[in-house]
Amino acid sequence: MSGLPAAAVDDGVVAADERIPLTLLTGFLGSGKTTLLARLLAHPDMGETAVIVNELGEVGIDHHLLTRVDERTVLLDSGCLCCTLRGDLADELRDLIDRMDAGEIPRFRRVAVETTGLAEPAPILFTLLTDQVVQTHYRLDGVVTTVDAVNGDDQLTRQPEAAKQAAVADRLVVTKSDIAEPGAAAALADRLRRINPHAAVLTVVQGEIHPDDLLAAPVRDLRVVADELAAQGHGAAGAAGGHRHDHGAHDHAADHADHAGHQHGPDEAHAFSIVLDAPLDWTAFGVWLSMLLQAHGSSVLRVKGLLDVGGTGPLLLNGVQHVVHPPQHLAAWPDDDHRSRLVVIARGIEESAVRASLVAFDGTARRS
Amino acid sequence: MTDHWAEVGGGVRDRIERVRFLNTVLAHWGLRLDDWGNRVYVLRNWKGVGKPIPDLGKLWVIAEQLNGGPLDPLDPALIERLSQAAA
Repeated sequence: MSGLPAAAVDDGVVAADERIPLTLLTGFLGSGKTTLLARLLAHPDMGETAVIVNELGEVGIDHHLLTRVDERTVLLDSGCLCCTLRGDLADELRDLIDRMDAGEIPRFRRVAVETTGLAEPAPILFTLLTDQVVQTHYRLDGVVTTVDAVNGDDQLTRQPEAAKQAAVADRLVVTKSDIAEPGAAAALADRLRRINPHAAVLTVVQGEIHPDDLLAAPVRDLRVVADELAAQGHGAAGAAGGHRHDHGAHDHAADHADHAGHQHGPDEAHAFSIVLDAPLDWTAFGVWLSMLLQAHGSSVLRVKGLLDVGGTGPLLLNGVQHVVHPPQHLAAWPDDDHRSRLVVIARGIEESAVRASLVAFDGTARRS
Repeated sequence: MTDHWAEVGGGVRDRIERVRFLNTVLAHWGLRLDDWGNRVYVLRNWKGVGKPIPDLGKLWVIAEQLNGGPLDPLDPALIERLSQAAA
């Protein structure tokens, strides 16, 4: 069997994406999201940015107000366009395009969307990735999640939404380090890196950060992350194609050992990687992942992969709980290392079972 | 089946291969997927009760209904069955 995702391949080249980049800003209640947003909105480099917030009053931007466009939209002296979310996010995003095209609001080149503190990120991402009009005009550029150094550790343990918000992040912002116990911010940053080692972790005091550092900070290299996890005992080379990589031949007990000087309970959100030497059968992988997300979507918080499915370049895969972005076929591998790497953020699920299941599905497909 | 991330752009050959592979997996729960003229997919349980399938995402939802419970790809018995078949 084979099955390259043909529609994702565009003569091996991904066309330049001219859609408006959209950043989702999320974070638990009281995590400093509004403080961050208030500073961001007023920053002189936020010109040509449209920001959708829950409540204008909360952000406290009155002294930066330049023009009130209508009852829910204001233009700030930074050039930033700020509007409140009435209800449906897709409607709001479509409406922004319509109003920009009609000349009712200034042209914008970037969008940031604030979610409510208790928001489950997956349904919002689902909207952004499935609405045809939204998809035409916007591309999801990343998720920024604020976690505060005072309460974040407890929230990550007790609140399912907090762990989900951390897992979906591309940039994790540790806030309130100035009022936290000494060492709390560093400990929280370490925990966040265990949950989501792919994200950039930034420490911000009183919302003081350049917009580009927040909205455009690069994520970590997925291959480096996968290999680090493997080195820490949270990953192993699989047996796809009948090849087993030397450092992967360890048992499950080793997976949960304290390789990196830390431990986590089975229900603690954490990351692990699967590294496969031989090309993956795309048909089997698609069936396997869709089935896994249906059965364990609440446990599998994030899946990100750079996969060898037999094409000239790798396939980039990105999923959040039940939601999977359309896979993107990249033109070429960065080097001669073409091993497939999958990084999974999960809780309450056996790493070894996930790995064994993928290898079994793949092996079945390539022998049929 | 269309409009699912794992199926986008696949041709008839991919569809046939996908259905064949799915049946290898679904057989573990006594389920079978039929492809009627490469146009309509119907999932049946061992009692013969069938339901149409619009895409791969819906397949697992409907399979759970017909099976009377979740279909877990991490089920050790399934992994064992597939591993033996592949050996």
